[in-house]
Amino acid sequence: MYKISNVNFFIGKRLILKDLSFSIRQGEIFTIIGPNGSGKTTLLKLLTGFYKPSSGEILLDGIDIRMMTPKALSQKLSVISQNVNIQFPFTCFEVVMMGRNPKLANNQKPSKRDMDVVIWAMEKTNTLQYWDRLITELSGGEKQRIMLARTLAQETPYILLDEAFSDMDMHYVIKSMKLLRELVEQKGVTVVNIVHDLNLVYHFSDSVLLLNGGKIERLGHKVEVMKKENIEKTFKIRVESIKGRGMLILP
Amino acid sequence: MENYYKHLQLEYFRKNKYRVWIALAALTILMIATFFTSINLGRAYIGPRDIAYVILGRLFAREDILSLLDETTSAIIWDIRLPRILCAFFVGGGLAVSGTIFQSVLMNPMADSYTMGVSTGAAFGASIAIYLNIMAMGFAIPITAAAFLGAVLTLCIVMTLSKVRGYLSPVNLILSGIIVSSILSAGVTLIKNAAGENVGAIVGWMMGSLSSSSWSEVFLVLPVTALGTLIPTYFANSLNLLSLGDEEARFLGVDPEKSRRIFLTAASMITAACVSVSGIIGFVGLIVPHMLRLVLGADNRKLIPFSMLLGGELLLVADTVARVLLRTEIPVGVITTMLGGPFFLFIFIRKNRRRYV
Repeated sequence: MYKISNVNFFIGKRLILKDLSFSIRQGEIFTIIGPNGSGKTTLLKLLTGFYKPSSGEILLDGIDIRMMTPKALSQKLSVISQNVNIQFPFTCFEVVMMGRNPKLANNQKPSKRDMDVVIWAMEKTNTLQYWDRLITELSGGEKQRIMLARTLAQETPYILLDEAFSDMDMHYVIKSMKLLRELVEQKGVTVVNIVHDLNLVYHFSDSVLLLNGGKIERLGHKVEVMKKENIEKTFKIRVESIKGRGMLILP
Repeated sequence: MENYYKHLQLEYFRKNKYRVWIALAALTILMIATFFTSINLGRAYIGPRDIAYVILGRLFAREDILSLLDETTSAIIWDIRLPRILCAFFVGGGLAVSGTIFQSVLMNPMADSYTMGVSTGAAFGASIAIYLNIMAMGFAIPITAAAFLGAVLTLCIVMTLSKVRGYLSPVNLILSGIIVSSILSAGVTLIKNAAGENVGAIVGWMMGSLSSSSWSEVFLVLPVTALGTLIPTYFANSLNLLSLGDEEARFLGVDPEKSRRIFLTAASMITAACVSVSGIIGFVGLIVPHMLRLVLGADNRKLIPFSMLLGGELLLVADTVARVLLRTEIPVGVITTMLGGPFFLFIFIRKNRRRYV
């Protein structure tokens, strides 16, 4: 469980996140939405421990996240950040195998189980056929599937995603979302997800956090947050809600 | 299905092992051949039998073997050719290893051993020493030591400048490297200008040559390069993760700050040692990692030790050519750059064709 209390975050003198307090329950898909510049990515980076809050604290299963070493953190949570750019020609298999690093000591050879997990992760994301190809030669969507496979191979109880499916085609977006749901239900994994497609949010979330200008606009069950008036006000767009099926965005 | 996986695992490891062993065997044979060719070639002809006698006699301190030869032969092999060959090998290897490390740490395939201004620092130190030795009476500053000092000081300045709230960013390292480097090269120009007609000594040093290598240079370069290769090889897995960027490294359990410090220190010390004994030898640190990545992939656990071998081999060949091709010696830095440049262009074009934009 995540417990975020009174978190403020400054970059220079600019206050990016203002006095956030909320918690994320074990075993739910927690989606963060909000307009550009509302602080979604910054919030996610605080949750990963990469940024330190200027004030307030973030507890991960009761432990202050600042107290955890990178190794300990990497065994608790796996992250896909926006725009990962790998410059060097690692094979896809090597990249997914990097997900096992948190569980291995320096220079320890991957065991049979490590291999099995990597192959399972690549099969789940339908990337096993790429195992020998270089990550630098893949398209954006294919790369994102490899990153998802690496996250699965990390086998962490928390998965944090920052628009991790933005380059995938609709088929794989839905497949990946279903895969996450499967993990949540079967293994009790907790997923924190930044998504732009409001339609997807409705279908693949439990709780939704609507951020605006670094503050919580709405937070709660998806049905309460994904209401016509909330979305229209925050995003300044027109939407039509469809009962039980999310909403239709009107240009 | 189960069978398919087994097959895949096997194939993966077999393919990788084959490549590594074939590359290692080929390089070893090549190195041995180059070593004997190089020690054989030179202005004075000395037969293979005499060479063997000198080396064996000196290594095992057997006066009876050495007494079979005249002193000059013994001195040419033991005091001139052998240290030069060793220097060429370890300087080349060192530059290649530090190039590999710098590229990964700075996340920039275009980086090399000199990107952070270490070489300009060395040149600045050497220029001051040469200038004072010529111009001021009673000065005899060892040029190698001055160059080494200049390199290390520059490195400290660049690392301090790159810190933002205690955090070293790769982009900052490159930028402050460029800034410090251009200030220092203006300084070098100033000294050259002040040196007047003695400018040749400074220019000659900077061109990159191994002609003044003796055993004392070997004893500087060898231990630094050996340690600077072994330690990073041991931690190479963290370097793989670090080459994906700080965030990725952290999320996969590596402390980016801590491991970056280890790798930067190792690579910079190697560069400082290499530049201080040989001057500036271009393109070895840039090309070797690229050549190896084409064959072995991006895994630094293989790249670092192989960079040592291939870099050493290449510079030894280049230096032998520099030494015997013409009547007067060609600076080896000229050869590596003239051959390395076009080759690098080839890799560059080839890579761009295979890449999504």
